[in-house]
Amino acid sequence: MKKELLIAMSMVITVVVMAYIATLGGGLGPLFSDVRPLAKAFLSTTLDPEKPLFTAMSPEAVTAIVWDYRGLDTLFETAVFYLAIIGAIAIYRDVNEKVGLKGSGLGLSKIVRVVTKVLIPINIAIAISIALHGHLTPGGGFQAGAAMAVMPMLLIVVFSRYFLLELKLTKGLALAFRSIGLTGIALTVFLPIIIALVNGVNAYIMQNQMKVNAPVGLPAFIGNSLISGSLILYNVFEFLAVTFGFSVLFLLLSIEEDIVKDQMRGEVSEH
Amino acid sequence: MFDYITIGLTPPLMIAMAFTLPIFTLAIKRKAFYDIYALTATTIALMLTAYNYYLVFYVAKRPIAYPFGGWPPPIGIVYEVDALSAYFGVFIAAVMLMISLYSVWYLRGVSGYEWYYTMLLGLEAGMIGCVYTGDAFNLFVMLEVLSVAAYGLVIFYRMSHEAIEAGIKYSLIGAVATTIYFIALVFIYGSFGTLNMADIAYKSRGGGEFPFSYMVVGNIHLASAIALALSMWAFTFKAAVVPNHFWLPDAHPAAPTPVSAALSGLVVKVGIYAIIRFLYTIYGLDSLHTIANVVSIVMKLLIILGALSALIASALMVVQNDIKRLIAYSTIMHVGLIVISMSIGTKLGIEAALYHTVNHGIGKALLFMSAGVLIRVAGSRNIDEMSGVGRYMPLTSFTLTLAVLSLEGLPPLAGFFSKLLLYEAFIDSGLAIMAVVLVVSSTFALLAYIKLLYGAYFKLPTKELGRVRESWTYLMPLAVLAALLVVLGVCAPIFVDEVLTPTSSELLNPLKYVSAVNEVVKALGG
Repeated sequence: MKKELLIAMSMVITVVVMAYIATLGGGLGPLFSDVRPLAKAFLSTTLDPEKPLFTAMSPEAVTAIVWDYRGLDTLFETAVFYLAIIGAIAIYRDVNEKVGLKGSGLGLSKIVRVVTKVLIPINIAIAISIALHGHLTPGGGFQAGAAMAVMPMLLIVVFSRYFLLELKLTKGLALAFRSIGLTGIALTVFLPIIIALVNGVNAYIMQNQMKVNAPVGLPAFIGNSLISGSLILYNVFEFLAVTFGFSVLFLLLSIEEDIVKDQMRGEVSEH
Repeated sequence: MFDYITIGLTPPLMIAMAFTLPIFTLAIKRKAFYDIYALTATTIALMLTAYNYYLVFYVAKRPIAYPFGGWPPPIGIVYEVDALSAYFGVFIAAVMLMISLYSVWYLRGVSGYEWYYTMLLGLEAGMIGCVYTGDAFNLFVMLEVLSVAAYGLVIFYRMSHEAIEAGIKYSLIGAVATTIYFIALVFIYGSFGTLNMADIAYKSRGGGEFPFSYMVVGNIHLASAIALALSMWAFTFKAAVVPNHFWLPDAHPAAPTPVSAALSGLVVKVGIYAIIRFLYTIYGLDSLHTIANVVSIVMKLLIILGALSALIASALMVVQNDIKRLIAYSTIMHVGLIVISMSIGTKLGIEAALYHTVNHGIGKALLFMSAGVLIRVAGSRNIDEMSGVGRYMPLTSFTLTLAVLSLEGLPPLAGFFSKLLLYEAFIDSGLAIMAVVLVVSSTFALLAYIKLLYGAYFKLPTKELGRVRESWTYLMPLAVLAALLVVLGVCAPIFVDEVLTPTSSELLNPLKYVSAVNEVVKALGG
């Protein structure tokens, strides 16, 4: 009882002190009154065709910050998500998902299955449009991937995971697509360097448009459509990586506990 | 062409190699392929970090900033490698190469090596990114990368209840720690209006306008106080300083042995690095008066916590029966000593802390890896049950003893000189009591080490093992690390003059750190 009281009191004190500093103490600076100078710099340069040496060529400032101005953060946030799933795969290593394969008579009622079948194309269309328009409207690769990952989730719940296995949507396949997405991201990171090597000029890692001392720019337009150079590439590859990353996770998590435990039993741990 | 590209290349290249590794798992099952893949990646990392060290120390002779995407900071992210970053970078890459070499032997007959190597590469990318970055938010991201890789590696033995418990404890509390650092960043961005370390360092010292972020926007005095308090909580968790050490004695022994070596030798040092960066570069005793006061209070607190770590951990070392747990407690003790020394605030203190960081990292990796060989042969981690298994393996026992002697501080090994330097730093700044802490904790540790050596070597064997053949695959990394301990010890005066003195003097002159970023801004059209 005393211990709980102590914890509660210290939490209350922490919250009060932090709230005071954040608001009345001015620790968070002006809230709701003005935009910070750095934010103004982002907003004024995000789409500025008149200054081709200092713009991200994307009207969507958030995506421009995520993949261009602060692209390195996003690259490594992708790595965090990637490593978390690798950790899950490592725990499920050598587990045969096909043990006890049952026919396709499983799943929910016919009504639910038909509705799901209707939803799937809509879902795919929405997810792809979020990914392909990520540099124009709110959204982007991760959001699109999360929307797309609803599909394997629905299929597993409504049709059972055995249905996916019959469609050959296995863990291995999902992993392959995911690796293609991630390798695509890695290639896009080094693409400007490769182009610069061929042309013998300067370039920076993760560069998108041309810079003052680095005349390597990825095309901002195809025909008359704005594609914002590297942003569309990152969005598409991230879309692949996230979709299939989640798919791997759902496929692993839906394996019955008994099957997993039976296969792991008796395994010796080294030290 | 490509000015200083090697500065920015290392972590992205490492993570790209980790990204592509799973493609090969679809076609190739042979372990040798993944061994070579991981060794290639870690060798490239060592070459790049060594080259960066050469650039910073001998070519530029000043910090070097690399702007990603060609955006001038603080609009974009920069990697900024000064002497401190270069020093930590080479140290991490060198020990990681030895760890992956040892893993080649260790992973024989263990399933899941491909995922193990993927996470190991992620861990190295995260660590090098942490020490190279010049952006406070990017430091958060890199801490997450290294932490997530570490959680996965700790829990690698999925059927060991010990590993699962330790992994869950480590990951849950670790996630809280990184989140707390994130809240600290909210306060920093809220008041300073920037996340670039050089920019914050400039403004915390009363500097005026900075390109793009201009003047400070909020009350930086209050915000810095809370940001310092929160970030120190997060970093002392990563560095395992009392009272945030409780996860370490569970997590480090439960992991596979090479990972224990990486966690104990390197990952806690990233916490040390972050504390140094915050207390000397971003903020400092030369900051604005109110902030400097907070820094000085934090330093005094850290001295007390460091002393507690050293004393408590060394006392607990004596009662351990699990050899890996004993070694893990020794990590807390040494980190305590390093934290005391770097919080004194003198040049000598920083030098002693940096020297001991490297000596402990190498010695601890060697100790874990030598013990791992004995554990494998004895089939137990209990010191009593190991009963003299070392007698069958004289070479491994030799490296084990060498590591113990260096950590304890016997001349002419490296540990002696860094402990001597620590001792001098304590006496020099009038902290004689801390010198007593050093001696007392070393004495306790000596008792524990005697117990370890007695169990592993001197005790009469209870079972006949016949002739045990020692394999060169694990002896090679052990020999390299042992040689490093001797070389670092014998060359102590040269090392202090050539490496530590420039590093500490650059660290005490944070305006050099700021001017490197200013040059990049000018070149890119600020």
